[in-house]
Amino acid sequence: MQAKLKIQNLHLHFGKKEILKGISLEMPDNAITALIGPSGCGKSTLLRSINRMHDLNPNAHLSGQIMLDGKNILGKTQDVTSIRRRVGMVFQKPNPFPKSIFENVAYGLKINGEHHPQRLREQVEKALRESFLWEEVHDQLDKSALELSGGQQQRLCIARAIAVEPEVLLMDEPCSALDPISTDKIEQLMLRLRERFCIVIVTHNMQQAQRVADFTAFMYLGDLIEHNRTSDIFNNPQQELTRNYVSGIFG
Amino acid sequence: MRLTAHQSDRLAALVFQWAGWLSVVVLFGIFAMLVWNGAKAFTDISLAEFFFGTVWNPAAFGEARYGILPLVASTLLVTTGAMLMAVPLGIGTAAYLAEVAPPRVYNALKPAIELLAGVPSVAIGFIGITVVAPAIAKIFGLSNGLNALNGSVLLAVMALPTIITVAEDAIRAVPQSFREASFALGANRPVTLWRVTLPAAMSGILAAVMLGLGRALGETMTVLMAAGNASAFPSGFFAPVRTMTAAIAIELGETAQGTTHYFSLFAVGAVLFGISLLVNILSEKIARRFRYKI
Repeated sequence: MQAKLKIQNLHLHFGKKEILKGISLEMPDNAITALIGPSGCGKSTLLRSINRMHDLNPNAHLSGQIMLDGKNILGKTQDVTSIRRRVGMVFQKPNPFPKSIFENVAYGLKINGEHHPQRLREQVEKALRESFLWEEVHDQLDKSALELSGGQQQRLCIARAIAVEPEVLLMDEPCSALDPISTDKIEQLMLRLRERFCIVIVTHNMQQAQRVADFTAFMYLGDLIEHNRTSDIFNNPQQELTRNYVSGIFG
Repeated sequence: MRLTAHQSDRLAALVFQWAGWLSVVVLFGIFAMLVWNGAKAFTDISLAEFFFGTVWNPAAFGEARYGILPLVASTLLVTTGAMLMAVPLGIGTAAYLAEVAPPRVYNALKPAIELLAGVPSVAIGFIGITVVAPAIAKIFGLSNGLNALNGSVLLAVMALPTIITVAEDAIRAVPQSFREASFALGANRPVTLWRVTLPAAMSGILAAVMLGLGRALGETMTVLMAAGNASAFPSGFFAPVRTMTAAIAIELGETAQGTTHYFSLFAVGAVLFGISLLVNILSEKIARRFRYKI
Protein backbone atom coordinates (compact mmCIF):
# COMPACT_ATOMS: atom_id res chain seq x y z
CA MET A 1 0.00 0.00 0.00
CA GLN A 2 1.31 3.43 -0.99
CA ALA A 3 1.57 5.67 2.05
CA LYS A 4 -0.25 8.99 1.83
CA LEU A 5 2.15 10.55 4.30
CA LYS A 6 5.71 9.40 4.74
CA ILE A 7 7.78 11.04 7.44
CA GLN A 8 11.50 10.41 7.13
CA ASN A 9 14.05 11.13 9.82
CA LEU A 10 12.25 14.23 11.08
CA HIS A 11 14.15 16.35 13.59
CA LEU A 12 12.69 19.44 15.21
CA HIS A 13 14.43 21.92 17.48
CA PHE A 14 12.88 24.74 19.44
CA GLY A 15 15.96 26.89 19.91
CA LYS A 16 18.59 24.50 21.21
CA LYS A 17 16.16 21.96 22.60
CA GLU A 18 15.51 18.92 20.44
CA ILE A 19 11.83 18.02 20.54
CA LEU A 20 11.64 15.44 17.77
CA LYS A 21 14.66 13.16 17.52
CA GLY A 22 14.48 11.61 14.10
CA ILE A 23 10.95 10.35 13.51
CA SER A 24 10.20 8.02 10.61
CA LEU A 25 6.59 7.02 10.14
CA GLU A 26 4.19 6.13 7.34
CA MET A 27 0.49 6.88 7.32
CA PRO A 28 -1.81 5.28 4.75
CA ASP A 29 -4.78 6.92 3.06
CA ASN A 30 -8.33 6.13 4.17
CA ALA A 31 -7.17 5.11 7.61
CA ILE A 32 -6.86 6.64 11.04
CA THR A 33 -3.44 6.79 12.63
CA ALA A 34 -3.33 7.65 16.33
CA LEU A 35 -0.31 9.26 17.98
CA ILE A 36 -0.16 8.38 21.66
CA GLY A 37 2.32 8.95 24.44
CA PRO A 38 2.72 10.84 27.72
CA SER A 39 2.69 14.64 27.86
CA GLY A 40 5.78 16.20 26.37
CA CYS A 41 6.53 13.23 24.11
CA GLY A 42 6.23 15.41 20.99
CA LYS A 43 3.05 13.98 19.50
CA SER A 44 1.33 17.35 19.08
CA THR A 45 4.57 18.84 17.79
CA LEU A 46 4.80 16.08 15.20
CA LEU A 47 1.19 16.63 14.19
CA ARG A 48 1.72 20.36 13.72
CA SER A 49 4.75 19.68 11.52
CA ILE A 50 2.51 18.01 8.98
CA ASN A 51 0.74 21.25 8.04
CA ARG A 52 3.77 23.39 8.83
CA MET A 53 2.20 25.26 11.71
CA HIS A 54 5.73 25.65 13.12
CA ASP A 55 6.43 28.16 10.34
CA LEU A 56 4.81 30.71 12.66
CA ASN A 57 7.50 30.13 15.29
CA PRO A 58 10.85 31.63 14.28
CA ASN A 59 12.64 29.46 16.88
CA ALA A 60 11.49 26.20 15.33
CA HIS A 61 13.93 24.39 13.05
CA LEU A 62 12.94 21.32 11.10
CA SER A 63 15.09 18.88 9.22
CA GLY A 64 14.21 15.64 7.47
CA GLN A 65 11.32 15.03 5.12
CA ILE A 66 7.57 14.80 5.19
CA MET A 67 6.38 13.34 1.91
CA LEU A 68 2.78 13.97 0.88
CA ASP A 69 2.01 11.82 -2.17
CA GLY A 70 5.73 11.53 -2.75
CA LYS A 71 6.50 15.27 -2.57
CA ASN A 72 8.43 16.76 0.32
CA ILE A 73 6.20 19.41 1.89
CA LEU A 74 9.07 20.79 3.96
CA GLY A 75 10.86 21.85 0.78
CA LYS A 76 11.72 25.53 0.60
CA THR A 77 9.96 25.91 -2.73
CA GLN A 78 6.67 24.49 -1.44
CA ASP A 79 3.90 27.05 -0.99
CA VAL A 80 2.83 26.72 2.62
CA THR A 81 -0.72 27.97 2.05
CA SER A 82 -1.42 25.36 -0.63
CA ILE A 83 -0.05 22.65 1.70
CA ARG A 84 -2.42 23.78 4.43
CA ARG A 85 -5.31 23.57 1.98
CA ARG A 86 -4.43 19.93 1.40
CA VAL A 87 -3.77 19.23 5.08
CA GLY A 88 -6.66 20.37 7.26
CA MET A 89 -6.51 20.66 11.03
CA VAL A 90 -8.90 20.42 13.98
CA PHE A 91 -7.63 21.81 17.25
CA GLN A 92 -7.78 20.66 20.85
CA LYS A 93 -10.13 23.38 22.01
CA PRO A 94 -13.01 24.16 19.65
CA ASN A 95 -12.03 27.44 18.00
CA PRO A 96 -14.83 28.67 15.75
CA PHE A 97 -14.44 32.24 14.56
CA PRO A 98 -16.69 34.83 16.23
CA LYS A 99 -18.83 34.80 13.09
CA SER A 100 -22.06 33.10 12.07
CA ILE A 101 -22.25 29.33 11.60
CA PHE A 102 -22.48 29.83 7.84
CA GLU A 103 -19.54 32.22 7.70
CA ASN A 104 -17.38 29.82 9.69
CA VAL A 105 -17.76 27.05 7.14
CA ALA A 106 -17.68 29.43 4.18
CA TYR A 107 -14.48 31.13 5.35
CA GLY A 108 -12.07 28.57 3.92
CA LEU A 109 -13.99 28.49 0.64
CA LYS A 110 -14.01 32.27 0.35
CA ILE A 111 -10.31 32.73 0.98
CA ASN A 112 -9.71 30.12 -1.68
CA GLY A 113 -11.61 32.19 -4.20
CA GLU A 114 -15.17 30.84 -4.06
CA HIS A 115 -17.63 33.74 -3.87
CA HIS A 116 -20.59 32.43 -5.87
CA PRO A 117 -23.50 32.55 -3.37
CA GLN A 118 -25.28 29.45 -4.66
CA ARG A 119 -22.15 27.28 -4.77
CA LEU A 120 -21.12 28.57 -1.34
CA ARG A 121 -24.48 27.55 0.11
CA GLU A 122 -24.26 24.11 -1.45
CA GLN A 123 -20.75 23.46 -0.20
CA VAL A 124 -21.50 24.75 3.28
CA GLU A 125 -24.52 22.47 3.47
CA LYS A 126 -22.48 19.52 2.22
CA ALA A 127 -19.76 20.07 4.81
CA LEU A 128 -22.31 20.49 7.61
CA ARG A 129 -24.10 17.29 6.56
CA GLU A 130 -20.84 15.38 6.47
CA SER A 131 -20.12 16.63 9.98
CA PHE A 132 -23.50 15.44 11.31
CA LEU A 133 -24.34 19.03 12.20
CA TRP A 134 -26.79 20.01 9.46
CA GLU A 135 -29.92 18.68 11.19
CA GLU A 136 -29.12 20.68 14.32
CA VAL A 137 -28.23 24.02 12.72
CA HIS A 138 -29.86 24.19 9.27
CA ASP A 139 -32.49 26.70 10.41
CA GLN A 140 -30.07 28.93 12.30
CA LEU A 141 -27.10 29.34 10.00
CA ASP A 142 -26.94 33.06 10.79
CA LYS A 143 -26.56 32.46 14.51
CA SER A 144 -23.16 33.13 16.06
CA ALA A 145 -21.06 29.98 16.19
CA LEU A 146 -20.10 30.88 19.75
CA GLU A 147 -23.65 30.16 20.90
CA LEU A 148 -23.30 26.47 20.01
CA SER A 149 -22.40 23.88 22.60
CA GLY A 150 -18.78 22.71 22.85
CA GLY A 151 -19.48 19.48 20.97
CA GLN A 152 -21.37 21.33 18.23
CA GLN A 153 -18.55 23.86 17.99
CA GLN A 154 -16.02 21.07 17.48
CA ARG A 155 -18.15 19.48 14.75
CA LEU A 156 -18.43 22.93 13.18
CA CYS A 157 -14.64 23.16 13.20
CA ILE A 158 -14.51 19.77 11.48
CA ALA A 159 -17.03 21.01 8.91
CA ARG A 160 -14.91 24.11 8.40
CA ALA A 161 -11.81 21.98 7.86
CA ILE A 162 -13.40 19.50 5.41
CA ALA A 163 -15.28 22.18 3.46
CA VAL A 164 -12.11 23.02 1.54
CA GLU A 165 -11.76 19.32 0.61
CA PRO A 166 -8.35 18.55 2.08
CA GLU A 167 -6.66 15.19 1.62
CA VAL A 168 -5.29 14.82 5.12
CA LEU A 169 -7.11 15.70 8.33
CA LEU A 170 -5.05 16.36 11.45
CA MET A 171 -6.86 16.23 14.78
CA ASP A 172 -5.11 17.43 17.93
CA GLU A 173 -6.93 15.82 20.87
CA PRO A 174 -10.26 16.88 19.37
CA CYS A 175 -12.35 15.45 22.22
CA SER A 176 -10.31 16.43 25.26
CA ALA A 177 -12.62 19.34 26.08
CA LEU A 178 -15.84 17.45 25.39
CA ASP A 179 -18.34 15.34 27.34
CA PRO A 180 -18.72 11.60 26.57
CA ILE A 181 -21.81 12.00 24.37
CA SER A 182 -20.17 14.68 22.24
CA THR A 183 -17.02 12.57 22.12
CA ASP A 184 -18.99 9.62 20.83
CA LYS A 185 -20.47 11.74 18.05
CA ILE A 186 -17.04 12.98 17.00
CA GLU A 187 -15.68 9.43 16.99
CA GLN A 188 -18.57 8.20 14.81
CA LEU A 189 -17.83 11.13 12.54
CA MET A 190 -14.14 10.23 12.34
CA LEU A 191 -14.96 6.66 11.36
CA ARG A 192 -17.16 8.00 8.55
CA LEU A 193 -14.58 10.54 7.39
CA ARG A 194 -11.95 7.82 7.25
CA GLU A 195 -13.49 6.72 3.96
CA ARG A 196 -12.38 9.97 2.36
CA PHE A 197 -9.33 11.20 4.23
CA CYS A 198 -6.03 10.18 5.68
CA ILE A 199 -6.68 11.03 9.33
CA VAL A 200 -4.01 11.57 11.97
CA ILE A 201 -5.20 12.02 15.53
CA VAL A 202 -3.30 12.88 18.67
CA THR A 203 -4.99 11.51 21.75
CA HIS A 204 -4.35 11.15 25.44
CA ASN A 205 -7.17 8.69 25.69
CA MET A 206 -5.97 5.16 24.99
CA GLN A 207 -9.51 3.81 24.83
CA GLN A 208 -10.23 6.33 22.14
CA ALA A 209 -7.21 5.20 20.15
CA GLN A 210 -8.49 1.62 20.38
CA ARG A 211 -12.00 2.62 19.36
CA VAL A 212 -11.11 4.59 16.25
CA ALA A 213 -7.55 4.08 15.08
CA ASP A 214 -6.39 1.55 12.50
CA PHE A 215 -2.76 2.23 13.32
CA THR A 216 -1.15 3.56 16.46
CA ALA A 217 2.24 5.14 16.99
CA PHE A 218 3.63 5.34 20.51
CA MET A 219 6.04 8.20 21.18
CA TYR A 220 8.21 8.91 24.18
CA LEU A 221 10.44 11.96 24.82
CA GLY A 222 10.76 12.85 21.16
CA ASP A 223 11.34 9.34 19.88
CA LEU A 224 8.98 7.07 18.02
CA ILE A 225 9.07 3.88 20.08
CA GLU A 226 6.68 1.65 18.22
CA HIS A 227 4.26 1.85 15.31
CA ASN A 228 1.88 -0.91 14.34
CA ARG A 229 -1.72 -1.95 13.89
CA THR A 230 -3.68 -0.65 16.85
CA SER A 231 -4.60 -4.12 18.08
CA ASP A 232 -0.93 -5.13 18.07
CA ILE A 233 0.19 -2.02 19.96
CA PHE A 234 -2.33 -2.63 22.71
CA ASN A 235 -2.41 -6.44 22.82
CA ASN A 236 0.99 -7.46 21.64
CA PRO A 237 3.48 -4.63 22.05
CA GLN A 238 7.04 -5.41 21.00
CA GLN A 239 8.76 -2.87 23.25
CA GLU A 240 8.72 -2.92 27.01
CA LEU A 241 8.20 0.86 27.14
CA THR A 242 5.07 0.50 25.01
CA ARG A 243 3.77 -2.32 27.15
CA ASN A 244 4.30 -0.30 30.32
CA TYR A 245 2.55 2.70 28.85
CA VAL A 246 -0.50 0.98 27.38
CA SER A 247 -0.96 -1.09 30.52
CA GLY A 248 -0.91 2.08 32.61
CA ILE A 249 2.30 1.48 34.57
CA PHE A 250 3.41 5.03 33.75
CA GLY A 251 2.10 8.05 31.85
CA MET B 1 -8.24 48.01 66.70
CA ARG B 2 -8.26 45.11 64.29
CA LEU B 3 -11.06 44.63 61.83
CA THR B 4 -12.57 41.23 61.26
CA ALA B 5 -12.54 39.91 57.70
CA HIS B 6 -16.20 40.70 57.42
CA GLN B 7 -15.73 44.27 58.62
CA SER B 8 -12.84 44.99 56.27
CA ASP B 9 -14.89 43.59 53.40
CA ARG B 10 -17.71 45.94 54.30
CA LEU B 11 -15.31 48.86 54.61
CA ALA B 12 -13.72 48.21 51.22
CA ALA B 13 -17.13 47.87 49.58
CA LEU B 14 -18.18 51.16 51.13
CA VAL B 15 -15.06 53.00 49.98
CA PHE B 16 -15.44 51.82 46.40
CA GLN B 17 -19.14 52.53 46.42
CA TRP B 18 -18.50 56.11 47.49
CA ALA B 19 -15.72 56.50 44.93
CA GLY B 20 -18.13 55.35 42.23
CA TRP B 21 -20.88 57.69 43.35
CA LEU B 22 -18.44 60.58 43.63
CA SER B 23 -17.61 60.41 39.92
CA VAL B 24 -21.32 60.32 39.07
CA VAL B 25 -21.94 63.35 41.29
CA VAL B 26 -19.04 65.28 39.74
CA LEU B 27 -20.25 64.45 36.23
CA PHE B 28 -23.79 65.61 36.90
CA GLY B 29 -22.45 68.60 38.82
CA ILE B 30 -20.50 69.79 35.78
CA PHE B 31 -23.43 69.26 33.48
CA ALA B 32 -25.83 71.00 35.86
CA MET B 33 -23.47 73.96 36.23
CA LEU B 34 -23.15 74.31 32.44
CA VAL B 35 -26.90 74.06 31.88
CA TRP B 36 -27.74 76.37 34.83
CA ASN B 37 -25.46 79.13 33.62
CA GLY B 38 -26.09 78.48 29.95
CA ALA B 39 -29.85 78.72 30.45
CA LYS B 40 -29.49 82.34 31.64
CA ALA B 41 -28.26 83.30 28.17
CA PHE B 42 -31.69 82.53 26.78
CA THR B 43 -33.33 85.45 28.53
CA ASP B 44 -31.74 87.55 25.78
CA ILE B 45 -31.19 85.09 22.93
CA SER B 46 -33.89 83.00 21.33
CA LEU B 47 -33.28 79.24 21.18
CA ALA B 48 -33.76 79.39 17.42
CA GLU B 49 -31.04 81.99 16.98
CA PHE B 50 -28.64 80.12 19.22
CA PHE B 51 -29.04 76.72 17.61
CA PHE B 52 -29.70 77.74 14.00
CA GLY B 53 -28.02 81.14 13.67
CA THR B 54 -25.11 81.13 11.25
CA VAL B 55 -23.21 84.09 12.71
CA TRP B 56 -21.24 84.01 15.94
CA ASN B 57 -20.27 87.56 16.80
CA PRO B 58 -21.10 88.39 20.42
CA ALA B 59 -18.65 91.28 20.60
CA ALA B 60 -20.04 93.17 17.60
CA PHE B 61 -20.26 96.98 17.80
CA GLY B 62 -23.76 96.82 16.42
CA GLU B 63 -26.11 93.97 17.12
CA ALA B 64 -24.44 90.99 18.84
CA ARG B 65 -25.08 87.64 17.13
CA TYR B 66 -25.13 84.33 18.96
CA GLY B 67 -25.49 81.65 16.27
CA ILE B 68 -23.60 78.53 17.42
CA LEU B 69 -23.63 76.78 14.03
CA PRO B 70 -20.25 78.12 12.79
CA LEU B 71 -18.59 76.86 15.96
CA VAL B 72 -20.27 73.43 15.78
CA ALA B 73 -19.46 73.16 12.08
CA SER B 74 -15.83 74.08 12.76
CA THR B 75 -15.52 71.51 15.52
CA LEU B 76 -17.11 68.78 13.38
CA LEU B 77 -15.03 69.73 10.33
CA VAL B 78 -11.71 69.69 12.16
CA THR B 79 -12.59 66.52 14.07
CA THR B 80 -13.81 64.66 11.00
CA GLY B 81 -10.66 65.60 9.12
CA ALA B 82 -8.54 64.42 12.03
CA MET B 83 -10.37 61.11 12.25
CA LEU B 84 -10.11 60.50 8.50
CA MET B 85 -6.34 60.62 8.93
CA ALA B 86 -5.90 59.13 12.38
CA VAL B 87 -8.23 56.11 12.17
CA PRO B 88 -6.69 54.28 9.19
CA LEU B 89 -3.18 55.25 10.21
CA GLY B 90 -3.79 54.34 13.86
CA ILE B 91 -5.37 50.95 13.17
CA GLY B 92 -2.71 50.20 10.59
CA THR B 93 0.05 51.02 13.03
CA ALA B 94 -1.64 49.02 15.78
CA ALA B 95 -1.95 46.01 13.48
CA TYR B 96 1.69 46.35 12.48
CA LEU B 97 2.85 46.58 16.10
CA ALA B 98 0.71 43.67 17.27
CA GLU B 99 1.12 41.30 14.34
CA VAL B 100 4.14 42.08 12.22
CA ALA B 101 6.80 44.22 13.87
CA PRO B 102 9.98 42.34 14.85
CA PRO B 103 10.93 42.90 18.51
CA ARG B 104 13.70 45.38 17.70
CA VAL B 105 11.40 47.65 15.69
CA TYR B 106 8.68 47.27 18.28
CA ASN B 107 10.97 48.29 21.13
CA ALA B 108 11.87 51.46 19.25
CA LEU B 109 8.39 52.38 18.04
CA LYS B 110 6.34 51.68 21.13
CA PRO B 111 8.09 54.12 23.52
CA ALA B 112 8.14 56.77 20.79
CA ILE B 113 4.38 56.50 20.41
CA GLU B 114 3.86 56.63 24.16
CA LEU B 115 6.10 59.68 24.32
CA LEU B 116 4.02 61.34 21.62
CA ALA B 117 1.02 61.11 23.94
CA GLY B 118 2.93 63.13 26.51
CA VAL B 119 3.80 66.09 24.27
CA PRO B 120 1.90 69.13 25.61
CA SER B 121 -0.77 70.43 23.25
CA VAL B 122 0.80 73.88 23.24
CA ALA B 123 3.98 72.37 21.80
CA ILE B 124 1.94 70.65 19.08
CA GLY B 125 0.29 73.98 18.35
CA PHE B 126 3.67 75.62 18.11
CA ILE B 127 4.84 73.05 15.59
CA GLY B 128 1.58 73.59 13.75
CA ILE B 129 2.24 77.29 13.38
CA THR B 130 5.90 77.06 12.46
CA VAL B 131 6.12 73.81 10.45
CA VAL B 132 2.82 72.29 9.35
CA ALA B 133 0.98 75.48 8.38
CA PRO B 134 3.76 76.77 6.08
CA ALA B 135 3.96 73.31 4.51
CA ILE B 136 0.22 73.25 3.87
CA ALA B 137 0.36 76.77 2.44
CA LYS B 138 3.14 75.71 0.10
CA ILE B 139 1.59 72.44 -1.03
CA PHE B 140 -1.85 73.91 -1.78
CA GLY B 141 -0.65 77.36 -2.90
CA LEU B 142 -2.38 79.26 -0.10
CA SER B 143 -1.31 82.57 1.35
CA ASN B 144 -1.73 81.20 4.85
CA GLY B 145 -1.79 77.65 6.21
CA LEU B 146 -3.55 78.38 9.49
CA ASN B 147 -6.83 76.67 8.64
CA ALA B 148 -9.08 73.71 9.40
CA LEU B 149 -6.80 71.28 7.58
CA ASN B 150 -3.88 72.35 9.74
CA GLY B 151 -6.02 71.78 12.84
CA SER B 152 -7.04 68.35 11.54
CA VAL B 153 -3.45 67.26 10.92
CA LEU B 154 -2.40 68.31 14.42
CA LEU B 155 -5.42 66.72 16.09
CA ALA B 156 -4.76 63.53 14.14
CA VAL B 157 -1.24 63.46 15.56
CA MET B 158 -2.64 63.99 19.04
CA ALA B 159 -5.32 61.31 18.70
CA LEU B 160 -2.93 58.74 17.21
CA PRO B 161 -1.22 57.53 20.41
CA THR B 162 -4.59 56.84 22.06
CA ILE B 163 -5.95 55.02 19.03
CA ILE B 164 -2.76 53.00 18.51
CA THR B 165 -2.36 51.95 22.13
CA VAL B 166 -5.96 50.87 22.70
CA ALA B 167 -6.32 49.22 19.27
CA GLU B 168 -3.05 47.32 19.72
CA ASP B 169 -4.26 45.92 23.03
CA ALA B 170 -7.52 44.89 21.38
CA ILE B 171 -5.70 43.11 18.55
CA ARG B 172 -3.36 41.35 20.97
CA ALA B 173 -6.33 40.18 23.02
CA VAL B 174 -7.69 38.15 20.07
CA PRO B 175 -7.09 34.50 20.96
CA GLN B 176 -4.20 32.91 19.06
CA SER B 177 -6.50 29.97 18.28
CA PHE B 178 -8.48 32.15 15.84
CA ARG B 179 -5.35 32.94 13.87
CA GLU B 180 -4.24 29.30 13.91
CA ALA B 181 -7.61 28.17 12.61
CA SER B 182 -7.32 30.63 9.76
CA PHE B 183 -3.74 29.68 8.90
CA ALA B 184 -4.69 26.01 8.98
CA LEU B 185 -7.26 26.67 6.26
CA GLY B 186 -4.58 28.06 3.99
CA ALA B 187 -5.02 31.76 4.73
CA ASN B 188 -1.90 33.91 4.68
CA ARG B 189 -1.11 36.63 7.20
CA PRO B 190 -2.80 39.61 5.50
CA VAL B 191 -6.00 37.63 4.87
CA THR B 192 -6.02 36.39 8.46
CA LEU B 193 -5.48 39.89 9.80
CA TRP B 194 -8.16 41.43 7.61
CA ARG B 195 -10.84 38.76 7.84
CA VAL B 196 -10.33 37.19 11.26
CA THR B 197 -8.18 39.18 13.65
CA LEU B 198 -9.45 42.70 12.99
CA PRO B 199 -13.15 41.69 12.98
CA ALA B 200 -12.60 39.78 16.23
CA ALA B 201 -10.97 42.86 17.75
CA MET B 202 -13.67 45.18 16.44
CA SER B 203 -15.24 46.16 19.74
CA GLY B 204 -11.87 47.19 21.16
CA ILE B 205 -10.91 48.99 17.96
CA LEU B 206 -14.16 50.95 18.04
CA ALA B 207 -13.43 51.89 21.64
CA ALA B 208 -10.00 53.11 20.48
CA VAL B 209 -11.56 55.22 17.73
CA MET B 210 -14.10 56.71 20.12
CA LEU B 211 -11.42 57.59 22.66
CA GLY B 212 -9.43 59.27 19.90
CA LEU B 213 -12.56 61.09 18.76
CA GLY B 214 -13.16 62.32 22.30
CA ARG B 215 -9.60 63.56 22.44
CA ALA B 216 -10.02 65.47 19.18
CA LEU B 217 -13.43 66.91 20.11
CA GLY B 218 -12.23 68.32 23.39
CA GLU B 219 -8.79 69.54 22.35
CA THR B 220 -8.49 73.31 22.75
CA MET B 221 -5.03 74.80 22.76
CA THR B 222 -3.81 73.33 19.48
CA VAL B 223 -6.82 74.40 17.43
CA LEU B 224 -6.86 77.76 19.14
CA MET B 225 -3.26 78.36 18.07
CA ALA B 226 -3.10 76.79 14.67
CA ALA B 227 -6.54 76.55 13.05
CA GLY B 228 -6.91 80.20 12.07
CA ASN B 229 -9.42 81.33 14.68
CA ALA B 230 -11.97 83.06 12.46
CA SER B 231 -15.50 82.64 13.77
CA ALA B 232 -17.08 82.84 10.33
CA PHE B 233 -18.98 79.83 9.03
CA PRO B 234 -16.27 77.55 7.56
CA SER B 235 -16.33 77.14 3.80
CA GLY B 236 -14.07 74.09 3.76
CA PHE B 237 -10.78 72.64 4.95
CA PHE B 238 -8.84 75.66 3.71
CA ALA B 239 -10.92 78.09 5.75
CA PRO B 240 -9.67 79.39 9.10
CA VAL B 241 -11.95 78.11 11.85
CA ARG B 242 -12.79 78.67 15.49
CA THR B 243 -13.98 75.54 17.25
CA MET B 244 -16.35 75.46 20.21
CA THR B 245 -13.51 74.79 22.61
CA ALA B 246 -11.37 77.58 21.18
CA ALA B 247 -14.29 80.04 21.36
CA ILE B 248 -14.82 79.29 25.04
CA ALA B 249 -11.12 79.51 25.84
CA ILE B 250 -10.56 82.79 24.01
CA GLU B 251 -13.74 84.62 24.80
CA LEU B 252 -14.48 83.66 28.39
CA GLY B 253 -11.49 85.59 29.69
CA GLU B 254 -12.53 88.75 27.84
CA THR B 255 -16.17 88.88 28.82
CA ALA B 256 -17.63 90.56 31.86
CA GLN B 257 -19.22 88.10 34.24
CA GLY B 258 -22.99 88.00 34.18
CA THR B 259 -23.38 89.26 30.62
CA THR B 260 -25.28 87.47 27.89
CA HIS B 261 -22.00 86.70 26.15
CA TYR B 262 -20.64 85.16 29.36
CA PHE B 263 -23.68 82.90 29.80
CA SER B 264 -23.80 81.98 26.12
CA LEU B 265 -20.32 80.47 26.41
CA PHE B 266 -21.64 78.16 29.12
CA ALA B 267 -24.39 77.16 26.71
CA VAL B 268 -21.72 76.37 24.11
CA GLY B 269 -19.98 74.24 26.74
CA ALA B 270 -23.23 72.41 27.48
CA VAL B 271 -23.69 71.63 23.78
CA LEU B 272 -20.12 70.33 23.54
CA PHE B 273 -20.74 68.22 26.60
CA GLY B 274 -23.89 66.88 24.97
CA ILE B 275 -21.99 65.97 21.79
CA SER B 276 -19.32 64.13 23.78
CA LEU B 277 -21.98 62.30 25.75
CA LEU B 278 -23.75 61.29 22.54
CA VAL B 279 -20.49 59.99 21.06
CA ASN B 280 -19.86 57.93 24.18
CA ILE B 281 -23.33 56.44 24.34
CA LEU B 282 -23.27 55.61 20.64
CA SER B 283 -19.84 53.99 20.86
CA GLU B 284 -20.94 51.89 23.82
CA LYS B 285 -23.97 50.70 21.82
CA ILE B 286 -21.89 49.89 18.74
CA ALA B 287 -19.11 48.23 20.69
CA ARG B 288 -21.62 46.00 22.46
CA ARG B 289 -22.94 44.73 19.16
CA PHE B 290 -19.45 43.64 18.12
CA ARG B 291 -18.51 42.06 21.42
CA TYR B 292 -18.26 38.28 21.46
CA LYS B 293 -18.22 35.70 24.18
CA ILE B 294 -15.37 33.25 24.49
